[in-house]
Amino acid sequence: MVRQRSSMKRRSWTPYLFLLPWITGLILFTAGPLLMSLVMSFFDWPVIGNVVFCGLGNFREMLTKDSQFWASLQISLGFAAIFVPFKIVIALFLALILTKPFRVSNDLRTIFYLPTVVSSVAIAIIWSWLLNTEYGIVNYVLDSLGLATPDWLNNSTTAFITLMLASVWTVGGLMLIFYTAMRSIPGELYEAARVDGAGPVRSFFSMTLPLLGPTLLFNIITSVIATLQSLDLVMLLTKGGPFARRICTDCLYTTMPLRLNALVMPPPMLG
Amino acid sequence: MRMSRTARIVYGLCALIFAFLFIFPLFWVLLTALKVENEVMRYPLQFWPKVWNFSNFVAAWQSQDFTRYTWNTILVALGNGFGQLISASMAAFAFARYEFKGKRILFAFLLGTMMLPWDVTVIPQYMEFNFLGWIDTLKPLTVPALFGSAYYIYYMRQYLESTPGDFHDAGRIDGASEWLIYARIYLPIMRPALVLVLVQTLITVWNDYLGPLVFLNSRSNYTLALGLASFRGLHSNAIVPTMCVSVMMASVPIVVFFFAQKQILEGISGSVKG
Repeated sequence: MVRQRSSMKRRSWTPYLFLLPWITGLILFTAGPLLMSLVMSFFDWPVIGNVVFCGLGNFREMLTKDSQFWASLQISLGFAAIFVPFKIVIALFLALILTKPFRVSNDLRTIFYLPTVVSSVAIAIIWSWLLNTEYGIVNYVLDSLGLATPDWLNNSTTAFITLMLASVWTVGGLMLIFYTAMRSIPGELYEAARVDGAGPVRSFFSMTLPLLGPTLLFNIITSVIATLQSLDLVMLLTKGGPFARRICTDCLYTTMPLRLNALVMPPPMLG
Repeated sequence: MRMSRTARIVYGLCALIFAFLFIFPLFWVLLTALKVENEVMRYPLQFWPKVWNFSNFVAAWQSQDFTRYTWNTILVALGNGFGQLISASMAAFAFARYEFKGKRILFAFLLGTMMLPWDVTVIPQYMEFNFLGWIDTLKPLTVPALFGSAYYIYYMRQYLESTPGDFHDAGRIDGASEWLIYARIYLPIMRPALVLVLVQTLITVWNDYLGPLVFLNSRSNYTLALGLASFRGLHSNAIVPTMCVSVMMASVPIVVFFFAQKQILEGISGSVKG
């Protein structure tokens, strides 16, 4: 690099030089392709053949003719509506347990976070083995208690329960965020509440929860985004069963108003 | 804060139940991996393996080219780690330590790409990579990450914002170039943040399933996650080998997590405060 004499000049260029790699990547791999797809959405753009401008035609087709679009939108919104509150409540509760002065609370924190680092492929394998219809340990226990042994992954109700169980497993990130926020609430507040005669339940709902407000909002937003995107576990666990296919196509549909036949997507491997 | 006796019992019990729910599946899979195939499919269920077959792991590993998949995964992980450490930390440094024209807009772009769902970019990216002839190579998984990801840039910027700017001025007075100030003063300061970013990148890449699924076709290019998924698809009755590979795949992030536990748990907590 040429050594510049004026330090003012040097200073004015440096930040851009430091940002150069990131900006290059942004243009090449995010903004560029996105703009391109925006342009393409106004054209009839088959893989082979002529490109024809069709204005808002693709959007019209998607919103009116395509029955799958609305069906999958409905499913994934419903999915999020059940999943997000469930995950948030579990994460809150786990964080609450961690704030309690147990001798093992550091170990508990490790245990609760541990499955979060495991790959979704391994999680799917682990849970489908536990819930295996014939040889799974869960059904074995249910059977020896004289209870019904469902075919967990092939029935839409039980498959939903399975997904919820498996997603509780990866709630560690949300839990940590709640935990940090809860720890920053000063203990005197609780003392004061106790003196005023508030029980633990009351002080949780009237103090902890309102004080967690911004954190709660943050967690809800991030988990809505994550849940709408969380197709890997769905795909892997139910193998194109009750939800997988619809949620999978929905991700393609809701995200890109592009004609699907214009894409050269490889067939998703539902292993 | 003290707890009443009932609260102690209730919370303790819940903690126990959850701890069991979080640990037992891992433990059970490990036990399964050590059994003989016909011990696994037996009724009534056999809890402990009669003989601890550690050779199961070797057999499972050799039944497919898992070494190759691991090598591919490591290559991708190295590329990603390198990119995040260098490019992302440079961008974070610029955002945290300089005032310049267009900073606000660029920062808004940064936040925007952070919130962009993966699914939105994957289709246009696929078309781009297809055009470049990168499909079925490791490039789509590696090259974009070389330029730094928004999330890590944001995290490191948060970290740098909390460090004093005096070092910068001191460096300037001593005649160090801006690059030297970044490399010799701020990179060492950022060490805890860099460790967290590296660990998170490695775990994310190791576990990534959808990226490889979309961009890779031929077996020789598979990453470990994809290899494991396809192995399970092919040998759905071979429970023991599937469990063996799952255990091995899961054990790497778990071991990394144990080593970097403090950084991860505190780093995640810290990044939210800012």
